Amino acid sequence: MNFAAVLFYAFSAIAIVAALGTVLARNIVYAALSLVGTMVMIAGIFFILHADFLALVQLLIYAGAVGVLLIFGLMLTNTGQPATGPKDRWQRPIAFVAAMAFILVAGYAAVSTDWMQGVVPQLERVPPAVLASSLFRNWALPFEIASLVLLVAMIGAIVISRRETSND
Amino acid sequence: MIEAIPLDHVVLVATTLFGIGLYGVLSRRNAVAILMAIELMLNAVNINFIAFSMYVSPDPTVGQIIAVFVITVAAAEVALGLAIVLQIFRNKSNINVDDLDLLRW
Repeated sequence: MNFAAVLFYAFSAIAIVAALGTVLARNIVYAALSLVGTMVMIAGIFFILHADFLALVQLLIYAGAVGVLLIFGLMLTNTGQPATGPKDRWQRPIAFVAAMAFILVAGYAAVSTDWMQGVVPQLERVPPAVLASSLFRNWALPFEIASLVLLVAMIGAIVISRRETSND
Repeated sequence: MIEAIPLDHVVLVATTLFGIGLYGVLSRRNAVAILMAIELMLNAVNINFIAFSMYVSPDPTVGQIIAVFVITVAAAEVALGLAIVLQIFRNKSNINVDDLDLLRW
């Protein structure tokens, strides 16, 4: 058990606790802040897995942009009244059973499968330059399509959320 | 270094996070909270992509690049989702998904 492993298990434990906070907190703002905490811990897991670039992207986009966006969304859709009480929470037991079934089945599959098959993992750090050259050469077309997706999403979000004005 | 971490444990963490996100999607009634749970599930999948690309893939860049694309699509999804939620809130003054039953016959 070396330092990286200790850090990995600590990050994983905090991430799972924060994720539980995200889905269980009654106060929706606490849920959003727990989500940001989960994202930061997942960025730490990426660092330990030698994916430095992904860790930084995770911090910038998820912990930064998406977190702020979600909290803006919460502020703009605040009804001023607390969340409705437990008037009919029949979804909860079904959701619990479904989630536990998924975790047990997928967890059993993850544990019982021999992933390595005798392969010795390389586990070498991929330099960002190698990642960039692969992204812009082998993956150039998906990259361009992703940029188009982002453009369409940006224009669509503006058009959908714009208030209708009469003088247009 | 990270040789001390078995791949199983990374996959188990990702599975647990995905299951928690699934519970959130199914049990939450606030539309923004459902979007947050979906982000949780997408992040769990990203952990798996990176773990498998690092441990068993012959080319460790592929998993990271696909994770970048997942993050891209997730950003587009959360922007559009929040725009739709905002418009629903303007029309109905409510984002409780149980009350949004306009299409129910």
